[in-house]
Amino acid sequence: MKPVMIIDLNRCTGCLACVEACISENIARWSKEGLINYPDNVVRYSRTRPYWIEFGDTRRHVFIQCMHCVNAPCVNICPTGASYQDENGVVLIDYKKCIKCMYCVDACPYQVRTVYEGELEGDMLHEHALHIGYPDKCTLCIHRKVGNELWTPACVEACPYNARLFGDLEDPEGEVSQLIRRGIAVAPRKDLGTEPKLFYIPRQGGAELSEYPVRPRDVIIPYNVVSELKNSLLKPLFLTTTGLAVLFGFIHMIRSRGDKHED
Amino acid sequence: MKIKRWSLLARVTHWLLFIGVTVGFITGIPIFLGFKDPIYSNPDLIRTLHYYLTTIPLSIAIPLIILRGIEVLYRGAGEESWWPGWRDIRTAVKIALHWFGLSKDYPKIGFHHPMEKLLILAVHSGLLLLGASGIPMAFFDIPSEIRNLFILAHMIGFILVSIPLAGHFMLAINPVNWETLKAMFTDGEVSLEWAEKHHPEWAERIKELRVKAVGE
Ligand code: SF4
Ligand code: SF4
Ligand code: SF4
Repeated sequence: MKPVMIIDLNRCTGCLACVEACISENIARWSKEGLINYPDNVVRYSRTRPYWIEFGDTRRHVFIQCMHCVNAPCVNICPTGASYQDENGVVLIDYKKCIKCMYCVDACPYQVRTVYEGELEGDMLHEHALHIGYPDKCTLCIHRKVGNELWTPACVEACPYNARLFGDLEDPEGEVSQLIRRGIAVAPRKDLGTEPKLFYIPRQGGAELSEYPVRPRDVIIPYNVVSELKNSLLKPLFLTTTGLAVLFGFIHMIRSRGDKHED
Repeated sequence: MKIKRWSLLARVTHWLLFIGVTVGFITGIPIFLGFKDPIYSNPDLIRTLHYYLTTIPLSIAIPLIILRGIEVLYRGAGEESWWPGWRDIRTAVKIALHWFGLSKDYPKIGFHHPMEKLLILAVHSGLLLLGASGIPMAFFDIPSEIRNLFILAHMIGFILVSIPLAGHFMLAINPVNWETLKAMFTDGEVSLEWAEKHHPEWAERIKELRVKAVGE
């Protein structure tokens, strides 16, 4: 199973029901008295956020959220494996492993990771809900998954216009995989090489996808290249050379007992 | 007879470097090698230590290193600069050949072992790279577009510092060097016998200087 999401921008009215659903499900904290506490400026911390662009004399909105990239820079740069892909390719964060280096926040070319540093009283609804001070992003509501069945994320459930579709890319008969295969739903900025798994159906006669769904951050050296350099060159170099230095140090220590030349 | 090996300035600089580098290494290695426990069980505390307990001692050490360079130039007490030259590289090769049993000759060692000079150069270059990349990342808002260049520079600096320091650490715990290690901790003095054994060229220079001083 390979879960993917499509946002049909022709159907989306911008009612923000998806944002409200995401916040209630993942961001808000619930106090014992049943009160809901939100961060200040809460829409900023929603895992799906509206973004408006000027297009000609109109203003159009799109939603930005984690693309669950196949070749995810955030996963590749994460030193501890706290950012990882589960068996279905959903990009998640294991907070027990996270050391808050925030490399993943910078590495995401779509700028979808947020960090909430304020106070928030009450309990989290589930283990993948917002963790204060840690990076946060869409999990496709993975906490709703039961067994190996496809589930329904909160935003998809809440959308009154069925503008959000969620399905299995590996199900050839499914609506989602057909829309993608027929090129009706497309991923933005394929040139970044991240292979996003969030697709958009652009508005008719609308802007090019490269212009509007996300604001990709064009770095001088892609984060994936830095991660590759670290993992295949710098780390092995460090381990072998320091290992050799320690080994030679020991040999030297043994040989220098009573040797007048040594220092 | 006791002779001065480490001036007060050299000792203070060394211990500032020791604190900054040790804290930086312990708090930085989980990020480089990718593990959390036990060091990063409190990430906020460790990050604060990494930012401040490395930056402050190292920032004090930098002007002291410059001062020490000036001191070595003008003190004239037989101490030589740590800056390696071609002669040091040739000597280092001879020592390596001797160490691996490929040559019988063992060159005379001056105030600094030539390997030590190369090590100091690598450590200082690495520290410069670490500071130039780490301080902006820790205390300034670097645009994300170029932040990974700083991360890369920081990793290269870390390697440049760590490899020689692993060797330095092994030499420091070697019993044949305990006298100079003790000198670094205390009054900076070693015995002439120790110097004759480990740094004969330097010991000879010191003796010559003393003979001259007595003659005058
Ligand atoms: S969109 Fe960003 S956070 Fe999501 S998987 Fe891709 S790089 Fe990671
Ligand atoms: S902050 Fe991001 S990159 Fe760093 S350990 Fe946590 S998940 Fe990984
Ligand atoms: S709930 Fe549906 S229609 Fe409303 S803003 Fe979200 S995606 Fe668009």
